[in-house]
Amino acid sequence: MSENKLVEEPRVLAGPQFNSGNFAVAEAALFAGLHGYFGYPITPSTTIMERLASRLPYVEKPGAFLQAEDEIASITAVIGCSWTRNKAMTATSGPGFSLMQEGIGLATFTETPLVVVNVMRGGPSTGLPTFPAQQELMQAHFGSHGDYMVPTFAPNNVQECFDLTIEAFNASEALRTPVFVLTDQILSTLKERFLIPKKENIELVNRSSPDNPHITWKGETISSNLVLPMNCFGEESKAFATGLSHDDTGHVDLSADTYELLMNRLKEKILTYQHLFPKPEKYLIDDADTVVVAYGSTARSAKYAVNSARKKGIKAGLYRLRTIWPFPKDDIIQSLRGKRIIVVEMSSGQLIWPVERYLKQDVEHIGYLRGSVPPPSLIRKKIEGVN
Amino acid sequence: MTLPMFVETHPRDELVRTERLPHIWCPGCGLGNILSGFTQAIINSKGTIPIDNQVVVSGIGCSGRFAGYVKVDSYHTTHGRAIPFATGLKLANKKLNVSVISGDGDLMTIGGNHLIHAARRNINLNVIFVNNFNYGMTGGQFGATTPHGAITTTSAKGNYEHPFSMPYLMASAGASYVARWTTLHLKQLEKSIENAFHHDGFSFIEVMSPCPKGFGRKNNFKTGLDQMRYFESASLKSDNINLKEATASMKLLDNLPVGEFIIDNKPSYLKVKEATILNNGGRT
Repeated sequence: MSENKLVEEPRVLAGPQFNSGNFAVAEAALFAGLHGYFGYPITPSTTIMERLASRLPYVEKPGAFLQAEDEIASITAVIGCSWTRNKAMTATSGPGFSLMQEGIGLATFTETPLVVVNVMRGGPSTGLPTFPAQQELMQAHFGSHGDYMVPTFAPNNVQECFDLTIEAFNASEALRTPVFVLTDQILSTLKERFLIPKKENIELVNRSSPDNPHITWKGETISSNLVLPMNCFGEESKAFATGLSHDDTGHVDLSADTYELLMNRLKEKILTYQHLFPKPEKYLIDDADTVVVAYGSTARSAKYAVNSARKKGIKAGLYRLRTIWPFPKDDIIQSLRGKRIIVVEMSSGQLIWPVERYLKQDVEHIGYLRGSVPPPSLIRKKIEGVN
Repeated sequence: MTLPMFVETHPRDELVRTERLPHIWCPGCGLGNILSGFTQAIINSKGTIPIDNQVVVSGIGCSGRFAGYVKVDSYHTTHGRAIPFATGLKLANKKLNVSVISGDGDLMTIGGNHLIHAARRNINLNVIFVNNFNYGMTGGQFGATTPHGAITTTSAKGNYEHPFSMPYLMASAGASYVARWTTLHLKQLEKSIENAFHHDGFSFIEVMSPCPKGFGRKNNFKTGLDQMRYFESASLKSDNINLKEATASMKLLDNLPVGEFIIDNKPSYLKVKEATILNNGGRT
């Protein structure tokens, strides 16, 4: 057996590609330094898993791949992998995302860097497995019990599936937190041209350690008061972590002061650095009277509708969220308050909640539930005030 | 000869997070014995497995608190999920010697799916399954190993479900090392844990343990000592037993088979995986 030597594939496929959103997510994870993928097959996320099953164990600096017995095991094994100071992820879709909520709570509370990609399909329950929806926006924020916040990014094209997956790994490492990437069934299979940059052109962040407590991300030093340096396993540190309330050493402490301090710090660390998260795309909003607010593949249709309306002389614009949580409330208030707002989503009403809450004004809504992206004509008519 | 009233340190203090003591376990509970045997096995294995490579993962419940007391890298997961966490650790860093120590309710009842799949994979983990026949921390409810007929707070007139025989189940699922002891068999347990550390594959050790508050006092074992006396009289070393008969009825006249039931040198998960990848898919 010792004569056999594996011929390693390159880990990074630099250069232009023509492929799907799921392919881009998988390659971005390898680019970011993924070491462990643990997952369970579920449509429409499965091709991420298939791609990594055929790549991760065979590339330079190979990593671990496991097809777990369910999504609870997947997310928990991802947490285990991360505690060896290695980057780890899983990808899933609605029903699997529900099963993962338990582990997501554990990951937030033990401050475990990891990435979960949720390729959204129609729910509830088994729902519409092979059709797109956007019904897990609130679950991304409130899905697990207890208060917590997980940074949640939402791409709307294949290039962004790549870029925001890298951003997700960086944010997770910099802030010691799980990070979600919400894509949808359209993006999972949509093939587009995209570019995998050269390694030296992209900043990759690695979590802090007791030896190196001062890491930087996008030029900012991450405060070690907010993000504690991480002791990992196998580093002679007698590390300990628990899902119970704990002090800064990680040990159980159920006292009121400790719990309150911990809960506030966990929230604070995300909010303090939210300006480093992906910024919204603001398309023709400066002079717009009517602005469509959308994210993900819905925003592709919305942009088309905005362009059509502009051709007819209507001052329409698009505000496309790329970071969903924490919600960019200051920016949305500053950019949109007072304008006529139409929220468009493939849900009977999730994105509209934070938009209404922060703008404190009437908001119109298209909640499209037909297992496809709302057609541009529908959005254009709403902009025109026809229906 | 006069014995000192107090000792400054215990010989195994280097492996106990002494600042976390006193522990939360009740008088008469067997978990202290298991902590003692486990830490001694770590010391005995020092020559081959550096202490810094030892890891303990626990779930939820009384046994779940094990991770917080043993002074090696350790993690206290959610209920039933110690094995998936341990799997992620082991696959990501093969040099770690990963032990899962948790209770019957945690590992078998809520976490049973993970347990049988880990055994099926013959993955390189050591599982120390503390069986106290009930959910102790929540006040003594029945679980998947509670004997038929036993009184618990959710089976006040007797448990009308049937328990798993853990050695039989684990052997059928594919575990390549299967042993069973009670907390009375401290030396055998210690040796068994050492054997598990050095076994290449999935090791499963069931340790039957007294729980006077949750289980014993309702089921003819008024104190921890009474249940230990039962272990003494009923235990029967039977390494070669047909595992179908490896039951644990906790009834006064029934035997309690203990021993090292299975030592199988079939290739472990990591060995098969490595060979498969090196051979580009060829079967071994």
